[in-house]
Amino acid sequence: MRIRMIILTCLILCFIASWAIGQEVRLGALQDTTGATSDVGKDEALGVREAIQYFNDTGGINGKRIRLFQYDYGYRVPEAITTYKRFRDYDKVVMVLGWGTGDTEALSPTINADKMPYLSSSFSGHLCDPKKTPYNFVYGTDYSTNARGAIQYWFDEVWKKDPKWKELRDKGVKPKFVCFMDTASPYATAPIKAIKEQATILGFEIGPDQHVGLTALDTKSQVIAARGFGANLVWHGNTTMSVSAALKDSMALGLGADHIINNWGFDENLPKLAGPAAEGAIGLLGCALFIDEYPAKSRVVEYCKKLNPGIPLENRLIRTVQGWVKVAMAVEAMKRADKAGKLNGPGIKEAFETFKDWPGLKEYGGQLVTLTPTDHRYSSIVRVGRVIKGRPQTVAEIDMRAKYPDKWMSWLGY
Amino acid sequence: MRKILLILLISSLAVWGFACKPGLLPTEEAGKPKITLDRVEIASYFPWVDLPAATPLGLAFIFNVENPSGYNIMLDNIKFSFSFEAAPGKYIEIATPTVYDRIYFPPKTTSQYRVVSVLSSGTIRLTLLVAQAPKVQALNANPAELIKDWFAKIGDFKFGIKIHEGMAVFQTEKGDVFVPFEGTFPKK
Repeated sequence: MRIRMIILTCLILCFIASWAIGQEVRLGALQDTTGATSDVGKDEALGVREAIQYFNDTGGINGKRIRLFQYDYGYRVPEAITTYKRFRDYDKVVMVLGWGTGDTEALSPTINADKMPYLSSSFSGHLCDPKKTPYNFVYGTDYSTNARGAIQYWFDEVWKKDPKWKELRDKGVKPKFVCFMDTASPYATAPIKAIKEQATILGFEIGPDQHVGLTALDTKSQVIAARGFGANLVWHGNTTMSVSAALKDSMALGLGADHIINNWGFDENLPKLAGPAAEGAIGLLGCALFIDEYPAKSRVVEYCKKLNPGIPLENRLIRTVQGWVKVAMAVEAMKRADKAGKLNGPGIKEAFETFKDWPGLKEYGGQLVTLTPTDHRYSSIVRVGRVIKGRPQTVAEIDMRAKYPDKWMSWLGY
Repeated sequence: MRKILLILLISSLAVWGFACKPGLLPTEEAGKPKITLDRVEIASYFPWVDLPAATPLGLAFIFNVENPSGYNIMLDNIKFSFSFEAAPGKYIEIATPTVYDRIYFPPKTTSQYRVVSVLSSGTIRLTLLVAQAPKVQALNANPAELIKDWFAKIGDFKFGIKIHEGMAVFQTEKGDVFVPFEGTFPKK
């Protein structure tokens, strides 16, 4: 009798163990590794894949393994939509890690109707108002807050202090500002309303927008137009490749302006591509650069080597770290939802909205994250970087909520 | 009597465990799966249309998957990048296919595994203008001419196709196994 009991107990334990091991959480990821933003997209995709492996190796979602479905959609909105349908209908994912602003905004009505949590690499401010987009989340300070922070930093720290601008300052001249961006790209245009409003608050004169395609290699006509206006400051809203072309042309044509750059245009590659033209350029950083020192660095590097040994570490960018930030945030929400017994769309959304000063991203140089059912802006802190002696580095952090407490709520969904 | 039965049961389990050890473990170096590129095939081909119109192209990559271990192994996912030769010995990356279809490979076998990548001259153009722009500039090449030349010559594989950054993740009862791989076609 006792032997039978032992055998029966063993069999039951084996069954329970195999059931637990066999459980998995399915996660979709849309990436651009071949399209107009692949200069930054491929490295982020590597980071996502490596981070998922790390979290699986360390227990997954409370013991459940994460099964990642990661596909390139080439920055084509129609392909993003069809891939999302595959995630929803066949892969049966519980949430999606998205990529660009165009596809995230195009998919937003669908994912919200489907109650599918969607954590995107587009930090468009339009995705942060839960009244309009309750299932959209971002993993960095939104583009509009970032853009306001960048122009604020330049005004406070450069225009008011740099000897370069003393003569104009003493004359009481208003700083002249223009925007370079792909006017057909939702990513590039997303923060333009906000940055122009901030420029107006600070008393700038705003010149005509200059269209620079995401694939532009020659921006001379745009630089000549900005020079004709007498620009002191240029906002670059594109990704690294075309931003580097604009910086080189600005230097070659003697524009003389300073440059502030959105986060997907500012990374370790910028000084490599633009050379001395990048010196002094100011840009936005979502987290630590790959070349920085940060608490999780040894783990990030270990998984770079483990999963992608063929890619030299010197080619890695901040985008790898961003991939880890994205996955770390998604994993935390899924763990909380699972603990609450609601590992599904509404449960994950609710879990995200319990984040209050969550410190998990500090390991990667990210910010404390607070999300609420009425505000999906990840943080009000803007991390500003600058290329100094050929190397991008962090130079300041500005809390835009603290600086503009009366305006902060009105900027939601901007 | 019960004691004897228990001893017999434990002994038979132990003997079964030793006797049925099927061979190398997939997690030990000699038992790890090996992936090699066997060949590249044209999966579909269409008449050339000048850019910016897009001409589709389907490429199939056939890999040999050797499982020297004594255990069944399951391919969980596989990804690799491939590059086209733009000048002698100079390659430009084109795409990174990833496949998540799960498939088992029996012990002590070599099987073939096919990955199809659908491209177009338009998507390759974007890659050459953005992510690969520094390499294109370094070669002083014209992206449109380069792509047209590749599409004209690919039927005879008159230029090299390199597989790199390959990584296959196998799940086995002994744990996950990571298998990096690379290769070139045609083999010179």
